[in-house]
Amino acid sequence: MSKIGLIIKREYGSRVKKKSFIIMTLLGPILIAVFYASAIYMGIQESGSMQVLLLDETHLANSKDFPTSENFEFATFNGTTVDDLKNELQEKNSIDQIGLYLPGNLIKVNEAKIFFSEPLSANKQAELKETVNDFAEKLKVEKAGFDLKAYSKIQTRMNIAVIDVNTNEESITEIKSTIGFLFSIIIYVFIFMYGVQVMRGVIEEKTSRIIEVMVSSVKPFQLMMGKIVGIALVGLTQFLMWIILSSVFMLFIQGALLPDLFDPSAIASQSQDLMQSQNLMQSQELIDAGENINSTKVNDLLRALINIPWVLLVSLFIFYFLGGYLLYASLFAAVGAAVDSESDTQQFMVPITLPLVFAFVISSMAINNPGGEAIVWFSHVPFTSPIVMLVRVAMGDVAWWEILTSMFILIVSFILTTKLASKIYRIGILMYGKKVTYKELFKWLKYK
Amino acid sequence: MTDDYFALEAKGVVKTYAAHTALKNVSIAVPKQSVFGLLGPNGAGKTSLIRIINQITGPDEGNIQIDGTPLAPKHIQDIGYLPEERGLYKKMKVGEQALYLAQLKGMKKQLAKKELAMWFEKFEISDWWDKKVEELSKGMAQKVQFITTVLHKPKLLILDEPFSGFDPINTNIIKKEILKLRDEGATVILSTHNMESVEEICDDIALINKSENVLSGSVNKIKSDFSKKEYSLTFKGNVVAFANSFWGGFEILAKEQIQENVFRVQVKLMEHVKLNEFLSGIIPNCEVQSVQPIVPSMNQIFIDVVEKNAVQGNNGTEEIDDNNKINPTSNPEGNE
Repeated sequence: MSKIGLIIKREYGSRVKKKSFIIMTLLGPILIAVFYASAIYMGIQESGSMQVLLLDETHLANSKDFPTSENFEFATFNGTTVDDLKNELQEKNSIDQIGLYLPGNLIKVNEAKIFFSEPLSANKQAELKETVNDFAEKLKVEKAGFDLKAYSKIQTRMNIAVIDVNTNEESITEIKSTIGFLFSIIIYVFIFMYGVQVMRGVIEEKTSRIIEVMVSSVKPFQLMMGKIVGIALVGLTQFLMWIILSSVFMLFIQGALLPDLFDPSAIASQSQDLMQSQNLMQSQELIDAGENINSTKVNDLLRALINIPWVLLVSLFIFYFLGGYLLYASLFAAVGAAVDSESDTQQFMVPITLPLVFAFVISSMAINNPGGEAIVWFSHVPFTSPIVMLVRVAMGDVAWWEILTSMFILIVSFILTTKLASKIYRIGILMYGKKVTYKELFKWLKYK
Repeated sequence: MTDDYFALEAKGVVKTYAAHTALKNVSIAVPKQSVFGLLGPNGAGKTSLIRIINQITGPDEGNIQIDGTPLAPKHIQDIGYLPEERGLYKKMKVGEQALYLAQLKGMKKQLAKKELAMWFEKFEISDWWDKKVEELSKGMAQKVQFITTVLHKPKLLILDEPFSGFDPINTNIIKKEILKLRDEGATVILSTHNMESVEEICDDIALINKSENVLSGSVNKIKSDFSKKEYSLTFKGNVVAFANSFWGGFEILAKEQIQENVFRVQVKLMEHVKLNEFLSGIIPNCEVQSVQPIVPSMNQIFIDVVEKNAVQGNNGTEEIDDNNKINPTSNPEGNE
């Protein structure tokens, strides 16, 4: 094995065997799985029907206005006051029972109250509110003397589709950009986390004084690159393990909690239908999403997930993670080489962390304005492109040549920074007991 | 003397850092299969020279030859380097680490394993294989580091203060190993401040002071050159008669009475006087029991040269001529 291969092997091996790595690798997917499981669990809980105790002081409500639905079954409350209703709910303290209070002057004050002792999901709240709304409208229409049938006809809920002319599909920007931003966050965190690991590794070699033995056997550049590549592989391993373990855990949870419903093939066919149906209703739901959330919202998410160019996105994720990491890692290595201990790194960390944080801010702005001029620029600047570009790609408005240019600039930049950083590294690793200044770092760059 | 005679030759090496000159035109020649002492006060430039030999840095001027060929990356595996500041990966296991370092020096894993097992057994540390380095004491870690330095059977060993951190017993073991390695064909460059060990195991030395090579040659030759025609003499007889017997040819530096009528004196002969003349002068007046030349210790030579250098500024290398050769005595301390 070549020397650099040996170094990569050691750097990789010693890190993936660490307890902290194993814990992190397991913990990530477990957290995702727990989150997922609780979401499904709440979904199951929700699917049960609830009894709504109706305290109707208008005395106008009938079973037509409050029909039994999938979620609700209405029953007239025997008591007479709001306090009675509260007491009743408190006593029973059941998740299957809630109270609805309609005051006598309902249509004057436009107020009603829902009581619960165990929290009610947003979906159910929305449905119940809608029912009460309809009831109030009906009362108002009757009181005004309008024809209820005519009113129902006039009452309009417009379905307005927002369509992208490039793909001829409905826009699902919000979800897409969120996913792109998620990738940005992962890249940001990975560059930081593993960049700092490179720096720590260099400081460790320096403080343990093994460095002098090492550089008498290998070139400093080999040592630096071996470390950087080894740690990059650790990062990729962690990422892959997260994906694999999360998928396995999630499938397992689905299997355990929802044996039939979440059959993967069922999901696939369901989403196929969705893609073809171009259901106009859905976009409407999206627009007033806050007001009326129901299952079509979930369908939107599914459709967005399928519409996202996953293969492109994941390959670009790996490229930009590696490119961005390589760009920053050599700088982190240079910082590690320039100092004697981690507490001295502060002054040199600022110029490295600043562009990273800046890129993060830019990419969060890109969610709202993916085509903005500044954002297009920063998706080409090498110090920000790894984080910014993925948001743009996820939203799907980037020309292929833009991606290629950005990639090319990134590659050239990391070769250049690695060259410069290795010069600082080479001098710094053998320098002890001296507080290094920026001026000195520039001097080191000139040493042959 | 061909180029082949030297395991390492440095000619006119200059190394300048931003603020100061670490090496000014330094030349050394290390004969094959010898132990070569690289001496000098702290900050004289020894480490700079060692780093250049190890190709950690390059010289600004001058050239280095190993076995008669210019220093090149291929020589890395012919060199074993034990830096003064010892260091191993603290979290790594001893055996794993030794294997890693050996492989970086170009050894095949299987061979390295076999050799390591042998060395571990020799140093009686076989049960440390799976221990982490941070669990070892300083002396233990030193042993491991020594093994990793010599494991790949380097032709040239560069040991910087190899005895520091060792107790006398282990120091002795290491000394023996160094000499054994030399006898098996290795050339050893020993950088140390421990002058006793220099006298004991070095064949040749170079003394670097203020970035220059101020003294070099074989230990024996240097010692004889620095001897000041002083002798320790034991005789039976009268002190006054002794003192008067060779008037003007010597002076008495010290005297002590050992028994009745038996004295031991330290004498210094005048410039022109030979030992034989002196002895023939005094023998008629007293009974000479023993005579020994007082040879300066390397410690004394070191201090003298460095201090003289400090006073005079630099005078370049002190050339050693071959006259006046006197055998070394069994008196390394130089006085009694």
